[in-house]
Amino acid sequence: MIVADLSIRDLLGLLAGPGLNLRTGQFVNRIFSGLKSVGEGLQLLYADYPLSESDDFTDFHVHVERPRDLRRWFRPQVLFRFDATVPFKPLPLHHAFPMLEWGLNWCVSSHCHQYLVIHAAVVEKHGHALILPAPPGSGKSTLCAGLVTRGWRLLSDELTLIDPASGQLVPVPRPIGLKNASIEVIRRFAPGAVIGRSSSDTMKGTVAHMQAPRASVLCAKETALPGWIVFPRFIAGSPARLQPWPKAHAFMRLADNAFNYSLHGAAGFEALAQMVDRSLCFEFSYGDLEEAAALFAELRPPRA
Amino acid sequence: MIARDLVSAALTTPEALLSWELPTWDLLIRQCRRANLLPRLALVLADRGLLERVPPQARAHLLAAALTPQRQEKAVRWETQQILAALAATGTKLVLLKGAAYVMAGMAAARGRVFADIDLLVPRAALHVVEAALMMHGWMTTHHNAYDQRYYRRWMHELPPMRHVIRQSVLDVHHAILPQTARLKPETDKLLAAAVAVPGTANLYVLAPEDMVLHSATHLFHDGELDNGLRDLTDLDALLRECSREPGFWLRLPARAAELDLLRPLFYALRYTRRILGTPVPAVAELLTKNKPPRLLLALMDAIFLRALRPDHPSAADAWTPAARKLLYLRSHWLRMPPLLLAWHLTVKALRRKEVET
Amino acid sequence: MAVTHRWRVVNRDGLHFRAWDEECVAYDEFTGHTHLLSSFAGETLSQLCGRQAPLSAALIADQLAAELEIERDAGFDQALAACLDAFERLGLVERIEA
Repeated sequence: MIVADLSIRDLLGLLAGPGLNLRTGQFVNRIFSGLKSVGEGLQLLYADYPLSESDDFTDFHVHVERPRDLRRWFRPQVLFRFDATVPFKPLPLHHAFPMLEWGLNWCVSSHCHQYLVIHAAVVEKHGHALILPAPPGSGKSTLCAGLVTRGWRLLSDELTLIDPASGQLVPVPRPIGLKNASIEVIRRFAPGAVIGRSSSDTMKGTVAHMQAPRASVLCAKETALPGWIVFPRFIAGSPARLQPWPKAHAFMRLADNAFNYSLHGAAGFEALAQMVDRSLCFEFSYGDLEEAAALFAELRPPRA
Repeated sequence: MIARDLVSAALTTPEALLSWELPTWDLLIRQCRRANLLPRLALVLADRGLLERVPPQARAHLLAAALTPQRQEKAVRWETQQILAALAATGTKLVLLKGAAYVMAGMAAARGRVFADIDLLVPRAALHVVEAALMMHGWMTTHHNAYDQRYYRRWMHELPPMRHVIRQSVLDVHHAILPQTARLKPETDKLLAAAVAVPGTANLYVLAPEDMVLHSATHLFHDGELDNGLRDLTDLDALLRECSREPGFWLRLPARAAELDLLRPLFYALRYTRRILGTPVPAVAELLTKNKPPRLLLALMDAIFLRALRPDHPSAADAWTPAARKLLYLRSHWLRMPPLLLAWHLTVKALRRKEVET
Repeated sequence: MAVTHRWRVVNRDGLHFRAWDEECVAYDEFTGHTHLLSSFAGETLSQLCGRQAPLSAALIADQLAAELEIERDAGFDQALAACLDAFERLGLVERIEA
């Protein structure tokens, strides 16, 4: 059964009641929320996602709800709760859906230490994964969204999960977060893409989410091996330029972008080193998404 | 829904877990995570060769949690070396407390334990020179507010926590194991005199086994916030099991408690480790631990502790649990400070909170 | 009279290396730190790891110069001294007084 099989009434009923058991890759999330905007966001952007049985094991119990204090009457807010813990301060009520998305990312990056977790987008084509590590504002999400509308499979727009033992990259495909100008850029670049409601005045500016391609959701159990590590940088007006990057430096930048590198100790070092060994490393600057997509379409895979 | 403490059940009889259904595993993982006992459960299962038989979805969470204590153990060893180097010139006897002590002394209580700070005990007279030496090596005091500084230095039993500028590690330097203002006054000099050297190091010590147990018991049964109550109880259980292998331990323990005026916390420690975690406590120890509270008070303490020592998770709470936790909070302040000082302290705290909110 | 102290890696078994082109990265299990090293620094550390016994700076210099196929001169020795000092600050090596 998938989310699209539920009527909006049933969906909202599950969210307000026993919870919606949503599968994202290998993870099962039980989502609770009395907020209509959350239900509508889920219905639109998670239509293709499988639902899990209620007696299945759930990895993350999350609640997106209004805080129970006096402020609820004059300053409506929304709270993200992870089981019995409240990890973040509340946000304005109309940021409820982005809060769910950020919260689900946090669940994985804070707890899934069975993997080495890197703050990077990762997409795949012809069996090779392209990893795009970058701090916010580098244009990685725009690039990621652009590439998946041009045939690349989405593994994740935020979280690259590496199995330290095998070196395989584990998918957790979810809606891609777009910010400010890039929302309009993607609308023009891919007119058929499904993009949810925009939330303005968040900490990241105006935010909206693009639905992951159906094929990416269906292939969410297929792992991939790394092929390219590319550090992107958006510079308005700049031509697309791909420059080879020294591997030792690529290694250090990856470690810097990892959430839990230090936790993995020597095994983390070896896993990251192996990933760098296997990949071609580049720095990439671009000003136009079409040019960027065309350049990546021509990328030559590393020799086996 | 009935309040269930799955965590103590799991730790006491891990073999029984293998027959549990997935929804129960789901709740167990959540309760453990809340109680900061997920790493410990992972290790208990691994030690008994049961990890491979855990459902894979649950096992992933256990394996993920087990990384933290592994990494922390290495970090503590490194940090301890840095502290030793910083304080070598002072000639002070350095006694490690709690988690860091369990690690450096290679004790079972260290296994699966996660902790934030390193705790040190030094003689009161050496406090200034120790603080100065630490500052020279990159540790800075925290809590710069004048009231907080006074609170720690004059009324509590420690310096305000010190944080290393580069490594960001936190060091708590104590000169007693209970606040100066507390009603019980165990003498630090006795603890320091009995401290045991850590093999392979120069000038590093840990408390004697009985003292380690008493320190742990005193903190658990004097603390106001038992977020980590069950975790601390499992520490006590591990300490008691390991130390009880030493001949004469069960005679020395109550005697030492009497000497240090800590019989009441010891009474509670033995009572609740046995009831909640099945710790084997011999009858002779119970007999020798005089200072049992009056019947009514004991009934009240049972009602409070048997609730407050559960995981702090809604599924483990009943209607009385919030009240129990609140009473414990009040009790801890009562134990820590004389009434006038307590009133003053609570007033200042309330005013400060208002300041922060507006 | 010249001071003859010798140098030794603190945690030989806990050092992990990987080299690419002219540079390498090293992970020290004991401190938990990862270091980016030039080939000169990486080779120096590698030389020290190769022996259990402490080595004098002069001996390291000779071996290093041979390995890197460089002439040993004052500049070379200075670079090596700076390198060893940096390693000492990072907790990678320790000085053993003669």
